Amino acid sequence: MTLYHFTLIVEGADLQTDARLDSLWEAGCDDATFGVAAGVQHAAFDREADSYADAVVAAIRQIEQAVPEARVTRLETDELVTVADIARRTGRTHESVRLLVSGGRGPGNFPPPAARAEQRNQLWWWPDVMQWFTRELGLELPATAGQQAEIAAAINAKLALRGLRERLDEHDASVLEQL
Amino acid sequence: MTRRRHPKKEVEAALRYAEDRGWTVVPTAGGHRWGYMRCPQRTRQGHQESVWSTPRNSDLHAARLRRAVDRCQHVGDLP
Repeated sequence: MTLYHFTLIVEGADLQTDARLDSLWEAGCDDATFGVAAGVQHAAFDREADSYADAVVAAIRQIEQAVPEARVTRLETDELVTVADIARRTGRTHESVRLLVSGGRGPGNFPPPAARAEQRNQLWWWPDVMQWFTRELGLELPATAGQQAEIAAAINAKLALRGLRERLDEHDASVLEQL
Repeated sequence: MTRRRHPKKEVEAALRYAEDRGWTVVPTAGGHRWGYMRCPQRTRQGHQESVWSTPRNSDLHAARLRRAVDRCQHVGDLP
């Protein structure tokens, strides 16, 4: 099992009520943080699963089954990474990253960890880390790691298609099926 | 008046972090939701996060709450 971090955008029902949050908790979404920012509702998941696709699809189904009026419309990738993840993604050694983090080497001012600040296995937000590498070391890094980015794109395409299909008439929907 | 404390120390620390930056913490205690916290901007543009009583992982839930505060642009526009 691996821990995956991602955010789902939800429309169609106000999730910020005691009753709906109870249903979401009972459905297994106690590993998600539900909020709203500028009228857009999000569910930020930290979920253990066998694969990224399993984690995201199960989370979408749980939300939509717990609150039938709710529709998940988009997946946003936001990831917490360890020193080992950072080393792999930047093509450096574990020790080199550890030194950049501590300021023992490089320009210093590495972003503060997002979680487990006092523990050994610290976590950082990948967007913060990526920004630091770009700004301080001039590295161009991908927003998300390869395969996970492709799965995320596929899930988003499916969510977009699902939303559009609900607005098509039967004829157009059946024509579309030929693709 | 002092607010009710959250039973998980990591979450309580995140709530204090939010309060120090102008957010308001509101305990509701209606079921699995412990309460919510909202940013200083009280219009539709504002931010709100719900807080669980017993999140699956308190560290990660607390990190998400801190992240919401860090991302919020309204910190500092106190009414």
